[in-house]
Amino acid sequence: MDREPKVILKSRLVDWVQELQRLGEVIGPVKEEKAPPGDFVFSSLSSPDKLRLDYTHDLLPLKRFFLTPTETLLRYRYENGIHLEASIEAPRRYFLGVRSCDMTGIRYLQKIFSANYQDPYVLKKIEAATFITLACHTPPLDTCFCVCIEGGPSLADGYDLQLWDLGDRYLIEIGSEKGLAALEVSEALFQPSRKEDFQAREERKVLTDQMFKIDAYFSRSIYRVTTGKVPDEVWQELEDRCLNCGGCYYACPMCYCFQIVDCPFTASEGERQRIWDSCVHVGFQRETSGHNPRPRLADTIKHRYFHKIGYQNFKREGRNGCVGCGRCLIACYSGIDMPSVLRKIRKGQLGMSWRGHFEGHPLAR
Amino acid sequence: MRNTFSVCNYCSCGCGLYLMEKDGRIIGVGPSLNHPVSEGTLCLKGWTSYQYIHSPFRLKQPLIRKGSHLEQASWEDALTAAADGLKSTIQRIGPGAVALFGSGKATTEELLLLKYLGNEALRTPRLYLDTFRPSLSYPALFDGSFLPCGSSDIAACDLLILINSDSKEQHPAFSGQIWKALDKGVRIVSISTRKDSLSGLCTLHLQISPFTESVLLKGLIHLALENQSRRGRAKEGREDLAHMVRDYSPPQVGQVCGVSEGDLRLASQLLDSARAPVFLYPWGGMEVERERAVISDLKSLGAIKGEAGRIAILYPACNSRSAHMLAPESPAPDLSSAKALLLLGEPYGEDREMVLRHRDYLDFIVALDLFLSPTAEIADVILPASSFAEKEGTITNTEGMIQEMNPALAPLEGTKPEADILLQLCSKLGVKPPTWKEIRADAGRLRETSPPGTESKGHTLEPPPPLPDPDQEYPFQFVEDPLTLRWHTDTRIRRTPILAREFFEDYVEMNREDFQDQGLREGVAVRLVGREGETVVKVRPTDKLRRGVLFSSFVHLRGPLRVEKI
Repeated sequence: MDREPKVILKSRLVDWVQELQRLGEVIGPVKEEKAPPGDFVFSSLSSPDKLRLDYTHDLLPLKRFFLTPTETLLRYRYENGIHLEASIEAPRRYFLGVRSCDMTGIRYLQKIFSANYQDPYVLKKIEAATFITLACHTPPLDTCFCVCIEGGPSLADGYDLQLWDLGDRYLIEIGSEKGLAALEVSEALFQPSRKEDFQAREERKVLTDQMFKIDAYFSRSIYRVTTGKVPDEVWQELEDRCLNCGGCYYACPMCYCFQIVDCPFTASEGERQRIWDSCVHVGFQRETSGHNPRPRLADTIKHRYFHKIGYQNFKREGRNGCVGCGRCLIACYSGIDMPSVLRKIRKGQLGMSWRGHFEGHPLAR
Repeated sequence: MRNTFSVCNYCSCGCGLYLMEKDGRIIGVGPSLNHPVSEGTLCLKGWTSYQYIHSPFRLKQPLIRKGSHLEQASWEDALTAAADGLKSTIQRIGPGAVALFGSGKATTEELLLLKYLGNEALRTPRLYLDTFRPSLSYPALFDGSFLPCGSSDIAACDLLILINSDSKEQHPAFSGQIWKALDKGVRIVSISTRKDSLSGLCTLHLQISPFTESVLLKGLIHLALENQSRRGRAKEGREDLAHMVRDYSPPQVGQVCGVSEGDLRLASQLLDSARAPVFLYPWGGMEVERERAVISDLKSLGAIKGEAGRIAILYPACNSRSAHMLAPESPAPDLSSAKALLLLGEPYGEDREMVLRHRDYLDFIVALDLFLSPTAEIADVILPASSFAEKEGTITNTEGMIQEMNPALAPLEGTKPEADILLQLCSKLGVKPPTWKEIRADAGRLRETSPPGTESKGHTLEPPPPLPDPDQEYPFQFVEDPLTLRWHTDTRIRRTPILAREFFEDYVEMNREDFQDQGLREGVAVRLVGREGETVVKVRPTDKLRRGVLFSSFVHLRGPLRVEKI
């Protein structure tokens, strides 16, 4: 098969999923039993027709499949000395319907976890996965702002396959060998693309960029944060609002703080786990002596945003620590999210209104 | 990875969440975007609520006390021992000697079964279902004579009056609504002893002396009635009320509460001009009489505002509201003549303190618990229960929303869901237990029995009890209020790695100037001495408190205290 884009009829998608399920686990957005209407989560497809590519957003980013909330790193046993046993699971998995922002997040994690030390637990899982992304032709939620920070709405690279919804069919762009292999499972399902398909794609690209409702002022904020022009009172104001829930971390596709805990089953046996943690929690940096270099929430929040939008990190990691998925707008109780913090930083002013700055803000309803 | 939709079982907000299951273990939790309460948010406890499920400290086998230590036993032996112990107490002393505690952390089905066990098998009048809750302090509150309020009313109101409500710590989902209201420009009057982060941002913060909430509210009633009569709009039937608050004139109230007369009048003006005020009062851990007085004041204030005034009383635990509906006339717990106890779900608050205080007078305790908690530790038979991720059942949140808990796992090996345990205990005690289907149906019917009310009836004011009196010997007032990490005992929180790290030491807060006057040093423990007890704890200086006040959610002492250096 050549690497020219292909087309599949929507009615045949189920057949393709069925073929993929022969090769490995297929994971996509589904509506779970008993869940509130409108909720979608990425889950293993029990049958191909469970797939809901008309979904809005999964509130938890795809990172949870790679940097899992709880990961067993190794098992230990004391018996004539210590015995360690580590098993790294990396099953073949197909992720179908991934949003561009999540894909960008995964590629960022891949870079972070291979920077100084190759973390096999994360990297092997990513390597074994095939990502079939879905370009957005309308922002799925009012909270989306990926267009401000190169997180979407569609991707130029980084995907294995990228689907474009063209009404009765999907245009499929091929981004890698892995993607190609996923098409070759049943070549008969796919047709070559035509000129009209590309035209439709370009139209959607132009239209989509105009449909976003949130502005996030990154470039100005990067300058102000990097040159130390943000008054401390801004961070204090954020502390006053923050509930220290950790939601902005847990829901962020670009955050990767973790904590290592040992979990004994018996006196001589147990396992070492990695669990999700957040640098916003005040205890995160407390040292054994009890000394804490960042003892207040204002310090930890400042640290988090410096990491995400400071120029040093931009240079080192190749991009800002944000993809514009808008999950922090939903996960925060009190309106501390990337766009609102950037607005604070850009203006450096206090007491300004936090929300209701644009029509249709889901939190202003 | 499999996702199961379920409900958080910490506080009474009742947030929706997804439990992620992989290879028979819960590995994470995710929020629900469209859940009516949480709308995509979860608090720190919610996000980490899965971490204690597979804790190595979970009880995995029944334990029976042999002398001073606990021995592992089979389920059959343990259930028999539990039934025999309860039966023999009844035979020796009578059914009144057995007391049953059902905490608000248990599901409605479990509470129903406990009630069945108490009524049919043990025939004891001592059934205490989550007694440490507002309804106990003022049952008439729920007689249909107040306007209930939910989180959506907060979004729609034009004045929020928070009474001792640190909702950021206690009811995060409500806190989210309060922040939204604040951002929309809704006026907020906060009345509290301790400043919180909202205090500096709200329209008016009245920092009152400890335990003077009721005095201040009566002062507001006094002013509200004054305003009405000035405008010639005094309503009939309010003469009694006016008579009751005649002594609460602004100068006097200001003096007792330690707030300026001007602030008090401003609060009254704000209330007067509000079209749809909402009063928010969470369970505060105060004495019953004090809570009763506050709630009666709120009722009267709400009634003065007529149809518009709404009161939100926030329940403590995830299912406290069901507990109330199942036993609305539940008496205050009295263990003076009790000899045997059965504890379902870990008791918390005053219930827990009472059980611990009476431990030496009790012959036999059966505890159903996940962990060897302080109340399980003293038991004679300990039956390992299943966590919320391993069982089905319904819980009712503080707004009255009934939600299903869905199991994401089979019960961990060695544990049983509390409902199973109670059913088997029924059989052991020689009573035919109801079927699970019947219990589920009963739980479903609870919805119909909840008392909706819109009509304002007459009201009486309860006098506030006398204030604790600090003196030369015990100069500090002590206020206890739950913070997020000490919500309903710390049993689960201590076994959740992230939470255990976030709250790593117990402490008492003290005004910064007092701290300096006492010559204390940060990080050094002191001895707190009260008239009834003492404890050793670290003190942190703070600007949140007035002088002469100590605050903690970690220390269980009553009355004025003094601080001694060690």
